[in-house]
Amino acid sequence: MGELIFALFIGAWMVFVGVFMNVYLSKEEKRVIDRKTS
Amino acid sequence: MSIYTIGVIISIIAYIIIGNYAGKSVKDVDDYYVSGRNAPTILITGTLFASMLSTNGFMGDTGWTYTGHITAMIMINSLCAAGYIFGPLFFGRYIRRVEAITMPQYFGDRFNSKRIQQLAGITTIISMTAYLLAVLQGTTLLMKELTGMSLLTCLLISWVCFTSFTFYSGSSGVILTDTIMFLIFLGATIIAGPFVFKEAGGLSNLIPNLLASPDAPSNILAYHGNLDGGTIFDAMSYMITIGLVWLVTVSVSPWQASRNLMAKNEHVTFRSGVLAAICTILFLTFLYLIAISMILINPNIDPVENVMIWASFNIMPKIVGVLVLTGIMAAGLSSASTFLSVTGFSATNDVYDFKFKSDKQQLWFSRWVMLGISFIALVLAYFNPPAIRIISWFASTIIAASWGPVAFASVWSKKITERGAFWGMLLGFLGQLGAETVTRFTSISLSGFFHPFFIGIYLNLLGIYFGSKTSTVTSEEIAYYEKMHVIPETELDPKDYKRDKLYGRILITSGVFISALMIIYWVIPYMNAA
Repeated sequence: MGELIFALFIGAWMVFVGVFMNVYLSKEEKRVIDRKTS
Repeated sequence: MSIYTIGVIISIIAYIIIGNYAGKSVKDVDDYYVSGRNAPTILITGTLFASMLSTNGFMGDTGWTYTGHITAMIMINSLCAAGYIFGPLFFGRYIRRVEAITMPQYFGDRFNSKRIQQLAGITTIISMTAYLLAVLQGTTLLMKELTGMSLLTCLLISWVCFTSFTFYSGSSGVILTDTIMFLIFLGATIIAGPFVFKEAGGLSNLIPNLLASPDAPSNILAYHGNLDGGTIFDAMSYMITIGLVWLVTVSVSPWQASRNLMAKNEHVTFRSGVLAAICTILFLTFLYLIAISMILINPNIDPVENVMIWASFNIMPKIVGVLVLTGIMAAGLSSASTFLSVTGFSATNDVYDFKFKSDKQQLWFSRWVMLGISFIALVLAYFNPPAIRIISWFASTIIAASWGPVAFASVWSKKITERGAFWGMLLGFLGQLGAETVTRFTSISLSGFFHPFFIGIYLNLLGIYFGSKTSTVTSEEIAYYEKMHVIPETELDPKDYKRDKLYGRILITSGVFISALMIIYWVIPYMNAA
């Protein structure tokens, strides 16, 4: 069971970091567009 | 002359030629220090990963994996890799944005403080010189092992190689040779892997074969790995805390974060960070699979740091073995050139305020200082004084303990003052140094969240807090802070963001991929055998 959790953790951590990066950049892009159009 | 000696000499000559060729394009200080700030993703990725991976990675880490710690290495690397994403997002892009030529200069400008620039410069010089010596010694020993030449000859050859192009070409030469070396050791390892796996009975049979082998180290395939007489909690807390240490180190240390200064734009820092993160997790796991396969071929390699060398000599076809061994040396030389360049730049730019009459004068002065620093490193490497040897044990992380909190606070806090930043940096450095001394020379063991690195971090935070509480932020600091948070127009192309997010999706896919591979080829066979 520990091995399964370990394997899932490694993958989930990478997924989390990737998702975090994309969400962060998407929000920044949206802020920039909103500032340009306002 | 053996084929290994020939391979080493050819590769050294090639790096010197290519590295010095890059010097032709160096016209001014910006080219020398930060490669003109126009490096594309591949060069930043190459220099990031090659500067990180040295002989220690190919020898020390594989040796540790061979003795039953593959899961620990995978966990440490996975946590560390996140630093390549969080670092550029929350720190690296900002130091690039303000167009600093060194990281100590950034700190000096941010807090309008010469003493902070000098402190950061001095800590850079001390820790990077010690780290340079460790890597130089590793490369020298490896070359001696391959060629049979004397220690002094190998030291001189290694030294001439990385010094020549770093002295002449600066960062332009360093990032180009780093990338070539990165491609060589990446390609060599990928080519070599199947030969080792085949000899060990096949990659798909690796886990069942290790489970059945009486020679496999205890618990090598358990999630906690070889416990070395300790507890599961000890093992897990070690891998998690060391992983977090390296996450911070990779985010802010000068030999990693300074690569961001050279990027063409901020989006390149994000993309190269993703690629470096993927290499750190996927490529290094592949390397460690080679190391544990060797248990089935020869479980008695001693010292264990020679696993890859033994495999190159005895298992791989000669030409592949030569490629791998020159690749391992390349990993060491690439790190050495980066450390030398970072040290040399700080020695010229950050410690003393030289008044240059022209850009050309500053450029040539920088070159001569670089050569001087390198010569000092050569002498120290030859005589190997104990103090330097001691600092090299933790040279890679002490600067992160000194800079980490100050670096992030400098970008995200309007309340941190010059006094807070100065005392934070100083206490962080002295804190880890003191704690390392205690844990290494007394019976007191500092581990987990009392690891010397974290002692440094806690003292750093206290320094920031009390220093900032007893002083006020100046108008210059506020102005700099606000200027730093304005995204330049050139960075606002939606196409760039779209491409960045593609890289993000590649990282996500890699995460799913590695989890799936681990479950299919490790977890299921392991649970079936239990």
